[in-house]
Amino acid sequence: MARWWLSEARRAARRSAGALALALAGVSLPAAAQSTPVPGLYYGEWNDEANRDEDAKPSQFSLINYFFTRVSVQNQVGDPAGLRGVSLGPIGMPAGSAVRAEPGLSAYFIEQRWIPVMEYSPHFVDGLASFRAQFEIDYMWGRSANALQQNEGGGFNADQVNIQTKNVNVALYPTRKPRELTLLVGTQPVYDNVYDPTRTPLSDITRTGYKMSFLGSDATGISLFSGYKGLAKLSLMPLGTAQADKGTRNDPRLKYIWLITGDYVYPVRPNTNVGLSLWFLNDQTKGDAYAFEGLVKSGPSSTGLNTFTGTARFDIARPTGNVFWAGANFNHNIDFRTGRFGASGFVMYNGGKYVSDDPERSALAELNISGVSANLELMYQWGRGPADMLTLEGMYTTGDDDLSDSRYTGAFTLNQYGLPGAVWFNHKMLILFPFTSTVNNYTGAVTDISNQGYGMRAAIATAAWDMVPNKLNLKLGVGTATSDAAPVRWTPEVERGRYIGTEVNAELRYHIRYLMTAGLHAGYLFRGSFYDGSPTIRTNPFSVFTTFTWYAF
Amino acid sequence: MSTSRAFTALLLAAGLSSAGCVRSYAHQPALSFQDLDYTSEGSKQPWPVKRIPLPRTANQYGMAVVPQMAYVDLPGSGPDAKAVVFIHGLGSYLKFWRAQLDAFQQQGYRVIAVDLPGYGKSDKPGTFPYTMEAMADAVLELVDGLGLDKPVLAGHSMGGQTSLSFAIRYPESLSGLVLASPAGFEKFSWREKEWFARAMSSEFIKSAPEASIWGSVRQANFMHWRPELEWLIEERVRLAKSPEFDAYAYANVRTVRGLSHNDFVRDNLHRVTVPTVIIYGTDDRLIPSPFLHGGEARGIMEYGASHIPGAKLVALEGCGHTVQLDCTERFNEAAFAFVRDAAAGRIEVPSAPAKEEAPRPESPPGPASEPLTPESLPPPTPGQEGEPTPGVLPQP
Repeated sequence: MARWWLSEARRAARRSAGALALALAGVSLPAAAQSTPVPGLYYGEWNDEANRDEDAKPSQFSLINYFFTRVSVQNQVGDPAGLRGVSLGPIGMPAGSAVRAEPGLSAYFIEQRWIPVMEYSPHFVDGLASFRAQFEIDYMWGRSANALQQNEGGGFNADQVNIQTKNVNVALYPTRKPRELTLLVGTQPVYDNVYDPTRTPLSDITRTGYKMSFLGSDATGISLFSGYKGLAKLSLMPLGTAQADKGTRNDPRLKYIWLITGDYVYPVRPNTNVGLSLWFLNDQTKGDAYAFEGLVKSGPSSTGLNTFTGTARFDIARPTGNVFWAGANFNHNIDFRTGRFGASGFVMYNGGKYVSDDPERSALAELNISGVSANLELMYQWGRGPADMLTLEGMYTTGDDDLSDSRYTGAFTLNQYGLPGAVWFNHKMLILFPFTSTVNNYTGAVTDISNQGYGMRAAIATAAWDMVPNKLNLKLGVGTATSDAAPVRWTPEVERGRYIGTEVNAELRYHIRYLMTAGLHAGYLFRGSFYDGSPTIRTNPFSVFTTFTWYAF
Repeated sequence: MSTSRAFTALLLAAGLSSAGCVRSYAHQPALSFQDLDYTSEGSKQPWPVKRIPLPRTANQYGMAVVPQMAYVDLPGSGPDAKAVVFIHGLGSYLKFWRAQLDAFQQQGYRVIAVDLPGYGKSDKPGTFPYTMEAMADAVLELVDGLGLDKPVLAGHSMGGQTSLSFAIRYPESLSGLVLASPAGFEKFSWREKEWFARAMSSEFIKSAPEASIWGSVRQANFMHWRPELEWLIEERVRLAKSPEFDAYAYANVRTVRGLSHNDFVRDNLHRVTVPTVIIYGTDDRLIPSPFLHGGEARGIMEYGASHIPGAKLVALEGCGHTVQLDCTERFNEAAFAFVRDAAAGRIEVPSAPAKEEAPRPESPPGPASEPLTPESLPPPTPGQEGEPTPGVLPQP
């Protein structure tokens, strides 16, 4: 009995002590900012100098979620069968997604995308490295997208294997300061500007360098980023492989498409940067590498890729060759940090040569490439904040009057190798150029700046107003485009003009929270003579979207 | 268009845009906080900088070492001149009152401008609490130490919240409040406070590039930038190279937490018993928080004015957050008129109404608004410069 009492008393005492400790801890919370003074010499002074107890420490593990969903109603109707739910490419194409716009024909669909980005930087490696992985799960509601297996993940039964591995890479930081030096190894985003994609907001990526109009996708390889006296990037990527000579020469070795890019940007003044680029591509795959495994081959000889990406199609068989790009770009005050006027732009020259490995059976024995692209955007902050903005942008690419000859004089983008490999992102159009907030419906009048090889002259003007600062933004836009060269007729009896069309659009965005946005977007394209005689573009395209975007971190 | 024409167009555009280029201070030598140029704007006469130890505050908050606070003391027109104590905001120092100190002295007032602990030429002890209450106690110790008789407190942004904490807790020790774009009127949820704690790090502040400093200083605070304000950029860029900058950056981190760690000021606005004027810019880009809430400053300031008995609200159309430098003439005009009437006892303060449960303002509330980060964009995760770009490209 006594022992029982004693044990109960001990238990009660222990509970009381615990409660007291908790209470003291609670009471001391408001004073948590202070350190308990330590008696004796020197400690106090040292603590005042060295105490950083409340500094935010970098986390070892972080997860960033990108979630996007879009409801679309439009009369641009693509055939999603080929790419299992995905529609890509210019309207009017007879093949590929074969996007049409015909009277009385409209479609609606709902898309969804989730991209988790995981970053692990164990303290054990003391700031020398980070591991990142990025996956992508896409659906079209009610249907599968980008999927294998028998169940349709976006439909009844779900349970679908449809996780795409976007990026898996390790970043090494030899100086422990990523801004100074970063070596990025593995599958990574590749963009046509100098910035480290793992540490740079998308908005900066899309408004600088070549604005993703030449290169914007993912690839596996190695990149070096330096912040020594300006920003520099050196990148080496194999874009594809094929056993190009296995059937013809009994040579089982893999042949590669190599891309080497070098970019340098010098900050001439704060927020004013000038850059130079030199890129080189070598393709030894003879057209046997795939842009979309098992379905669409890559390179200038691909018979299917151009219908999905809007590039030029070349009648050359089993090509090998080189392409190089030399460019200059600048951006000035694009965030309006130093004033009300901003600008950005680039000039890019692409040159090169492909030679057919089978000239006897090839229409073209060789293909010589020489084209120029130029872009300029002027921006003015007319109101209270940077979202009160007027923009005027022009894009020019040289065209080619005869795509069947051995000389190509247009822009040559990485859409010749990817599905897509380049996405001009910042044009602010919805139909004239494809609306870029999308999962798997990237269609519009011009989907590659080469405009199927015919070249392009485009002008875009927008006005935006933050009706409620940082909360509700209205943007109105108008854009017009013509081709630089006369396009080939759709039908022999109807002549085609160069005028592609003029788009008017309006977008209303409500920022629920920082990086959480709901949008309502509507656009209408007055189609031009470029579509005269088209059997599938017989009415003016329109699109209405709602979007929900959330970068959750 | 030929290649040469395209290049010509680009060069022309680059040349035109370079007309708006700003000067870089990145290659200039480090600047010590102690070497900050505390001088009159016009005459360049150095202001007399003094230091005062704060043993009482140190004792109150359990500090092992007594910190010293720097201040400028400009004599008034006579021994009985009313004193005006100027308190700066987050990330700044007493020089942010450059356009007021001499002007108020010329009006006959004794002018005291403080560098709060952690800022300017004051000590930056890691163990100071950096709450608005502790800051106010430091100011009170200065007021008592100098024997000031009920000064008027003028506080900008965080200094406004500090002044309010002072006025609520020590109503007998002041005679008026001039609040310039004050923090403290806004409601943080506990989750938002957690976000601040997670997002702010001294490393982030220390690593801000010069381009971002232009954003956090000019873009965030000013609607009427002038070349003569470039000292704000130069000093911030050069200070970042000084050995003391780490302690300053940590003080900023702690102060951000201090700003939001409780709602003492917001919940007790009805207890302010001295004449108060709130002067703010209608184009304030920091109040409410552009990241957490959005909206306009007007609703936030009206909330504060409606809860402080007898408070007068002065909206300066088209002005930004650092309203005293952005719209100096209009600010001084409003402040002079108020201080003159307050010092003469011509402003009646109604007795405090019964405290109501503070409703959320109609416009979206924002947190205590300051350049909370040296960037115009907060880091999504500590130590990162921007959100990594998830693939938002269409991909089959």
